[in-house]
Amino acid sequence: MEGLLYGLSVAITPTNLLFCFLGAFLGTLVGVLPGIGPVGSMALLLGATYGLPPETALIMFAGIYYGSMYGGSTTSILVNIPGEASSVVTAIDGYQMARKGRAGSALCIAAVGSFVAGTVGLVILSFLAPKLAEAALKFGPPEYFAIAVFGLLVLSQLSGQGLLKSFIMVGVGLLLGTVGLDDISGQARFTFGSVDLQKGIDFVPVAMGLFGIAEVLDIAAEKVANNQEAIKVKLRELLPNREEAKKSVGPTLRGSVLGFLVGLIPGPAAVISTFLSYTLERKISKSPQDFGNGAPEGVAGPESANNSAAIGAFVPVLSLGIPFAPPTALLLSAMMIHGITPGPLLIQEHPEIFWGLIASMYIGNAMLLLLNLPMVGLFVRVLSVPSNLLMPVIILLCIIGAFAINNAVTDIWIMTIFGVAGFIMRRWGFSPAPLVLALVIGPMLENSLMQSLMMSQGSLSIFYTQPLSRALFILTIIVIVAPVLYRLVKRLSSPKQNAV
Amino acid sequence: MSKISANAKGALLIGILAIVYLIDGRELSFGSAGMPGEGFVPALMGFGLLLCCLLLFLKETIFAGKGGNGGMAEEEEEKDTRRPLLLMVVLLLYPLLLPYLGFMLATIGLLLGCFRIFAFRNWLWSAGAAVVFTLITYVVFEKWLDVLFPKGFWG
Repeated sequence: MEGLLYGLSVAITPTNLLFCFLGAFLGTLVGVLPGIGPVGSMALLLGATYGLPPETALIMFAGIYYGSMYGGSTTSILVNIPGEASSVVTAIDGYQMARKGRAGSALCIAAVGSFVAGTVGLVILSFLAPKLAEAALKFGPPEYFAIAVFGLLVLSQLSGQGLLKSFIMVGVGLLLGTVGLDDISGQARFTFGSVDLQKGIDFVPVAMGLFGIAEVLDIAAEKVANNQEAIKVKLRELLPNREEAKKSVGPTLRGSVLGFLVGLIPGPAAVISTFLSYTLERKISKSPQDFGNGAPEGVAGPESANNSAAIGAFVPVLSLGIPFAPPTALLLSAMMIHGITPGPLLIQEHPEIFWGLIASMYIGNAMLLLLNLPMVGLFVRVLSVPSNLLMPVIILLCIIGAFAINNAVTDIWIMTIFGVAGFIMRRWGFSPAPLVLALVIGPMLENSLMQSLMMSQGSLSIFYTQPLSRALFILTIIVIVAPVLYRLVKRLSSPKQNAV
Repeated sequence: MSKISANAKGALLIGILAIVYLIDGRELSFGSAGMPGEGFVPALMGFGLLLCCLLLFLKETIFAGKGGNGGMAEEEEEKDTRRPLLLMVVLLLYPLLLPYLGFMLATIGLLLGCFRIFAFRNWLWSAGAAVVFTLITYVVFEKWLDVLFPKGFWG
C-alpha cells in the first residue's frame, strides 16, 4: 500500500498526468483505425516516447497499450475488422449487435467492461504481483504444451463450423507457424528460398488479410447499393438498456478474474482469455443460441477478459523481465530504450517507475472510460461514412499497418495473399479465427513439445506425470468429450420421453 | 452431374497444400521421439492436417447424407465477382509496383483504382480523394511516426 501511494505521488504530477492522457488518447485513436491493433499502435507510437524522462515515457507507453486494446475492439464492433487477434471474439457478437442498431450499446458495454476488468486486474496486480509471478515461473515445457493444446481445442469447439473444419483451420495455422528459422537448430523451413520468410510469418499481416482485406473484398462482392454497410444507429440509443446491462454484469466480473489469471500464462494470453471467456459464457448461458447473434455477454466477457489479461501480462514483465506476449515485448523494448532493466530488482532500484507505472494505470484506466464514453457517438458515426469511401481507406490503413511492423513489402504481400485466401474461405464457409490463433500459439506448441520430449527421452508419460500438465489435459478431455456425451445422453433420452 | 460441395473443395485445396508442405519438409531431419529434429513437428502436423482433409472430403463426397449442407457457397445468393476480382488485381499489383514507384505514386494509383471499383462518385472526385488520403497518411506515418516508406525511383 505504501508503494502504491508513492506511485500515486509520482503519477499525479501534471506532466505525468498529461502524458498518461496523451498515451491513452493516442492509443485509442490509432487502435480505432481498422486493421491496426495494440502491437501495431505501440510499434507506431514507440517513437513518440523518445526524449521523455523514463517514468513519463513508460506511463505514456502503458497508456498507449491499454488505449489501443480498447480501440481495437471498436473496429471489431463497428466494421467487423478486428485489429488484432484478441478482438476476434468481440467481433462475433459485437458486430451483430451493431447490425441490429445496438452499436452504441456494444461500445458502452466494452468500455465499462474494460474499465471494470482493468481496475480488478490492477488491484490484484498491486497486491499479489510477486507471488503470482512465482507461480507463473513454475510452468515447464509440458505445462506450456498442455496450455497450447487446451487453447487450440477449446478454440476449435467455439468457432461454430464443426470440429473437423476447425481442426483443418488450426492445422493450417500450425503449418504457417513452422515457416522460418527453427528456434532450436536454426535451419530454415518452408521459406522456399525467401530471406524475408526466414523470420517467420507474422500474425499481424495474416490477421489483417484474413479479416480486413477479406471483409473489404466481401463487401465489394455485394451487388446491393454501396452504402449497405452503413448501419443506421440512433444516437439516443448509445447506452445499454436495462436487460443488456443486467446481462453484462456477470460476464464482466467473471471475465475480469479469468482474464487476469490467464494473463499470467506465457503466450497469447489476451487472445486465449477472450476465447475462454466466450466459451464459458456460452456454456453457462440460459440462451446459448443468442451467441453469435448479438448477445451482450459475448461482448462483455471477452472484452473484460482481454483487458484484465493485458494487466496480468504486466506481472512477468515487471517482476521477472520476461515478456510473454508481443505487446509486453514492446513494453520491454521501451524500458530498455530508456535505460531501465526490468526484473526482480526493478522494485528496489526504480520504485518510482514500478509503482508510478502501476498507479498511472489506475488513473489511465479511469481516463480511458471518461475518454471513450463521450466518444462512443463519434465512433458510431464511422458507420455513416459511405462504404465506397471507407473501404479504400481501410485498405490503405491495413497496408500501412502491415508494412509498419517491419518496414517490409513482404508483409504487404502476406496480407494481400491472406486477404484473397480469407475471401475464398468465407465463400466456402471456413472460419479464419482458429487459423490466426493457431499461427500465434503454434511456435510455443512446437517448442514445448520438442523440449518435453527431449526431457523425457521420447516418453509421452511426461504429460501425465506432471500434475499441472495432467490437470490441463484432463480439463481438455472434459471440454471436448462433455458436449459430445451431453448430446448423446440427450439423444438417447429424448425418444424415451417421446414414448412416454 | 452432381456439384462438389464447398467443404469438399476446401478440403481438397488444403489437402493439396498439406501434400506440398510435406514434400518440402522431406529435406528436414525428422530425428526420433527422444531427440526430435526440425522436421519432427512439421511432419506430425502435415500428416494430421492431411488426415483431417481426407476425412472431411470423404464425409462430403462418399458419406454425404441428406442433411449435409456442404458449406455455405451453394446456398449463397448470387454475388458480384467482377468487383472483388478487379480489387484483387489492384491489391496484388500494389506490392509489386511499390518498390519501383514509391509510396506516393503507388498509393495514389491504388486508391484511385479502389475508389473507381467501389464506384465513388466520378473520376475527378476519386483522384482528388486518392491524393488527399495519400498525403494525409504520408504526413502522419512518414513524417510524424517515422515509418520508412519505399521511395521508388524518386530516391
